[in-house]
Amino acid sequence: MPEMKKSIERRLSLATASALLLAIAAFSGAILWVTRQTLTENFDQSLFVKAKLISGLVEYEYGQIEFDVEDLRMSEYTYQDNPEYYQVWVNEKLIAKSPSLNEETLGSRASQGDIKSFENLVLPDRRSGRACQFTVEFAKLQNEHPVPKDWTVTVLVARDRSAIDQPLDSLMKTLISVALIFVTPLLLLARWLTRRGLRPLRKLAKEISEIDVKTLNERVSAEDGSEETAHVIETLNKLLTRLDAVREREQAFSAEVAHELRTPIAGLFSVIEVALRRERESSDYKNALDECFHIVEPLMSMLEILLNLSQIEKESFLTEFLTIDLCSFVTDCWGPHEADCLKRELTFFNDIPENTTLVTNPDLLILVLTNAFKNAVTYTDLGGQIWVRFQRGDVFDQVIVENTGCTLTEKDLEHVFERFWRHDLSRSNTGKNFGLGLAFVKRVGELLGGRVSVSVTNEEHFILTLSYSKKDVLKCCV
Amino acid sequence: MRLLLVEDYLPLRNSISLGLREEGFAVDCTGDGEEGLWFAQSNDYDVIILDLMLPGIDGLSILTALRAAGSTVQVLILTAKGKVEDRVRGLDLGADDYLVKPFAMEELLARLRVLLRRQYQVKNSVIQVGELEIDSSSQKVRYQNEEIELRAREYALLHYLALRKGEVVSRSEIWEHLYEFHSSTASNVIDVYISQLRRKLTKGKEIQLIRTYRGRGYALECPR
Repeated sequence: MPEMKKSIERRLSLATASALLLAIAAFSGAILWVTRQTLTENFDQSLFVKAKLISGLVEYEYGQIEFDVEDLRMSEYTYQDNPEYYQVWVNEKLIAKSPSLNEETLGSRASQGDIKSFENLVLPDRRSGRACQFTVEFAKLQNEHPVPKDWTVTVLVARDRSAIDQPLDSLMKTLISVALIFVTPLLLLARWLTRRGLRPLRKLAKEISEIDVKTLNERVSAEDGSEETAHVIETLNKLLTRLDAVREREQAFSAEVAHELRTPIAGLFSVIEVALRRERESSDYKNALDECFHIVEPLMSMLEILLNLSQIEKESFLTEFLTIDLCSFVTDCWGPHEADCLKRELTFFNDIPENTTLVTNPDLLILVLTNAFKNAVTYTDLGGQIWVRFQRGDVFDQVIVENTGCTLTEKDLEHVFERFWRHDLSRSNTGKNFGLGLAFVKRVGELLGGRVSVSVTNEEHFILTLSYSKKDVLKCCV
Repeated sequence: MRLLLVEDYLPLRNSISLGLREEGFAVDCTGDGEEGLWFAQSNDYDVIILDLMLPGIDGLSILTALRAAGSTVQVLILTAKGKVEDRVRGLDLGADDYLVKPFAMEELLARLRVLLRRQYQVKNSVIQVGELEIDSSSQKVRYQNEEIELRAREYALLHYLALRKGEVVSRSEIWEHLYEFHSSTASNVIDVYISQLRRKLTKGKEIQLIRTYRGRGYALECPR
């Protein structure tokens, strides 16, 4: 059975109800306690008064201790039913007890000076009772005749506790009944209060549930929101904004890729379709296959760049930073472009002094330079020149790739790093260059801890600069 | 029929032009917008197949220039820009049809046939001239219920005459609509094709479907 999800509402309802019930219980307990205290105090006081009264009946006359029981006009000590009891000691010697005790006693008590104490006990007739023991110096009692100084009179008076217990029982029953009567309404009240309190949350949840991939541009409203949900709503709306931007970028990217693929795929489709429309010589089929190969080759190159872009985005290339010999490194990166360079009658200048060192990630720098060189070889004018230079500064080190024959304007430079952007909208290089190279160079440059920028000179030179902040490189090295 | 193909992507340009030529069309090709405009203004084409993203000037500019000059040539836009707004814009600027890449050659051919019928105000794909039946969708010819086998060029010639049935079509018009600009074929080849067509259609019978108008040209007519 699947585990039941914990419900905040249920927990809050239970907590609220429990709190209410606890409050009632505590209140009831307090009332009971106060009542008990009051009743007990009054009861004890009455017992004490009786004990004191009885102690006053002890006399010392002519060397004899007398207890003038005739003066004790309290019939409660003689009742057959529910009597009260007393015992009197002088110097711990029992001298008198109530008729209600008959042959029994309430037990002996030690006396310690002028004290009174109260305790609960079981009366001889098994009723719950309470006793007051009062000990006083005999000499302090009103005696006509002098009494030895250290003599004490102890009186123990006891009676049943029903005067305390019955009202308390009655009160407790009343309180319990009231609690039981109100527990259901309290639970309902707690639930209602909780539900009401959670209403903004439910409203928020409903709004969120209505947002799907097609409505990511909608935002959660904070109109009826509370102070507590306002922050959640604000954070959620920011998240929706980011998600919407991602969705738009993804759609734009999908549209861009689809658009870029359309023409080469149309070419591929058309070449194959026309070749298959009728019987041909084998050389015609071979030509068609060659044509297809030349269409597919740059497509694969585009896909490779796109895959690299996605892998680079995962930053899985961030490995160690090493010190390299930049001059020979550049020469190695240029190697694969020699053939195209010769084909286009270009001249390449590696102006980096020998033994120039640079702390960098070689794997990433290869990607940057290879793509930068490819871009340069493609777009340099026929017979033009390409230079690579290095500038070491206090704050920045710069690797610069410059080529002639640039037809870009300042306005175009704002777009060169956008994916699939090409200056030549007609794409006379259709199917060969997809406008991804510089986007790739920029991203990899950032992962290198640098910044890639471009500029155009009045002499129509295109300059691509990879700037390293020494501080950032050190951070990457850590 | 004579077509102009303006498409800058070389593999596509080559394959389309090959496919169209094999279907009997005369095709002039260019990958440059300015050159395409010059071709369009200098020659009388039945249909212009026009890509939009071209070097030089773009396809929509070419279209606008042609329509501004009063050209009524049928234009089919062939492009990767497939959004509704792109298509609406192209059609509003005067294009007669719009085909999004990638496409099937069969569809391109079918759309060209539609445009040609429209050009020559023919309502359906089967043209009837007496007992001669020319089905442009299947490129089959029947005369007196008998199917006639024709080569691509022969069919193209017959089809052109059928589209203009009843009209006298000059050799130069036939030439312009059946041969590419760069062709060096002599005009008396037309006479040879006419002669071969007559023989295949009538099988030696004394029936004149294609009538010669001396000094003027030829006309496809119902036999008298």
